[in-house]
Amino acid sequence: MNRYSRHIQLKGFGREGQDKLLAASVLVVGVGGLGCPALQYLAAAGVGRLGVVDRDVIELNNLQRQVLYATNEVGLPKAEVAARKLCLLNPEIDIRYEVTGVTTENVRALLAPYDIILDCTDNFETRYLLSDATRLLDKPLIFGAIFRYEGQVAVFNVADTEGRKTTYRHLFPLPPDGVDAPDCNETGVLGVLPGYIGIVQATEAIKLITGIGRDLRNRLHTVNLLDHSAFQLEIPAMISQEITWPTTWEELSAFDYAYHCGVAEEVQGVHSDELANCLQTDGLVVVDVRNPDEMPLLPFHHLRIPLPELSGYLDRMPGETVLFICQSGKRSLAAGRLLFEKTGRKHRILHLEGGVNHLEIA
Amino acid sequence: MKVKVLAFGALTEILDREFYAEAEDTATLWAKLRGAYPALTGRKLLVAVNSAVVTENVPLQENDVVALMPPYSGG
Repeated sequence: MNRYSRHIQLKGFGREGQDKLLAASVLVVGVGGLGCPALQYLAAAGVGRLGVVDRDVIELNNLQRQVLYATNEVGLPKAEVAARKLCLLNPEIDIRYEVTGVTTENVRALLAPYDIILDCTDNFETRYLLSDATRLLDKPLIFGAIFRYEGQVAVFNVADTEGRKTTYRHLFPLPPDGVDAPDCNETGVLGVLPGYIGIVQATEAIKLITGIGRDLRNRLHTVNLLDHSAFQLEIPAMISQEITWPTTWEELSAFDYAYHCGVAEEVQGVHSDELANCLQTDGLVVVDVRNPDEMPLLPFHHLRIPLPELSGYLDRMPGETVLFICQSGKRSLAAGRLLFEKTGRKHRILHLEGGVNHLEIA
Repeated sequence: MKVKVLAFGALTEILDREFYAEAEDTATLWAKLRGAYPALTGRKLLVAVNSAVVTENVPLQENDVVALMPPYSGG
């Protein structure tokens, strides 16, 4: 136990605290600026089982802040390199990794084996997915996020003394539009900032596991490194607006997070190769916007509303997903845009790229 | 009511980090700011009054501190 002697001799922590760490498991999603320092300290502290998930490879411009990686490792998968380094740091703990993104398909299986999840990701799609999934799993989520010189940390899904729990959606019920919230790739970030915030996330994990101190449950902690100003907000267990969010696993697996987060285009193009698959979509309505005399007829169920008449149907368009088709793909895109202008994100809007001309039936 | 407003994140490209404003309630404050700074329109952010996130329009008292905070996505 010499490795952990400074913990064991620490008043208020001791052998009991260390044993709790060794018996605990933590999954870190994203091994970038936040995930690297968080993992280093969790591994060093002796968290018994660590999971590392990231789909990306190391890039040269990551090294300014992602301190687990070396220059000669550019191009290698982050999760694999991180796991290897962490094993060298502490070979006495169990460290597993997966080179994958977190999706609606794999999220439940990825998160289920762990006690605590750290959100160290860099995009809203995964942040909302993790928030919704940890709520369904009823697991603590330690959220961290950064912007230039400022950081945010909170602990979600942990009940306070009155039994109240909050999620990321209690702070921000819906994601911002893409332009609203640029990421580090676009705005730059002070390299030490994710180090600082990642260590606060690791600190909160250690506090939750060992029960020391007062963690950030139902509170958002923000800091600005330029003047070391810190600001804490109480998060109410109440959501400010009517929103649609997945409240069952069935809903979550069918939820389109890219679309929800405005990452997807307003009108998504469907390639002719993808059409057969696309036609299997639940709640799909296909609309042929060609004129009545244009051939060939589509050999699957569809509505026929010529583009010039479409405006009269926009308000009562059926279908969760609407796929527009025309001869060359031009009018179908125009139709999609018309529907988006009228109804926003009420429907998921698709159009067939290249139109009927690109289909075998032509 | 004269209140202190704190802006965070990318909002500081539009607003000062700290300034004073006159408003009866949070909705009026936001409407006034949006009127003065059209770039704020459509922004998603949380509003907190005296360090508590508010989920509906709340009346403001003299010297209240209102925080306007957008989500950060970086990691």
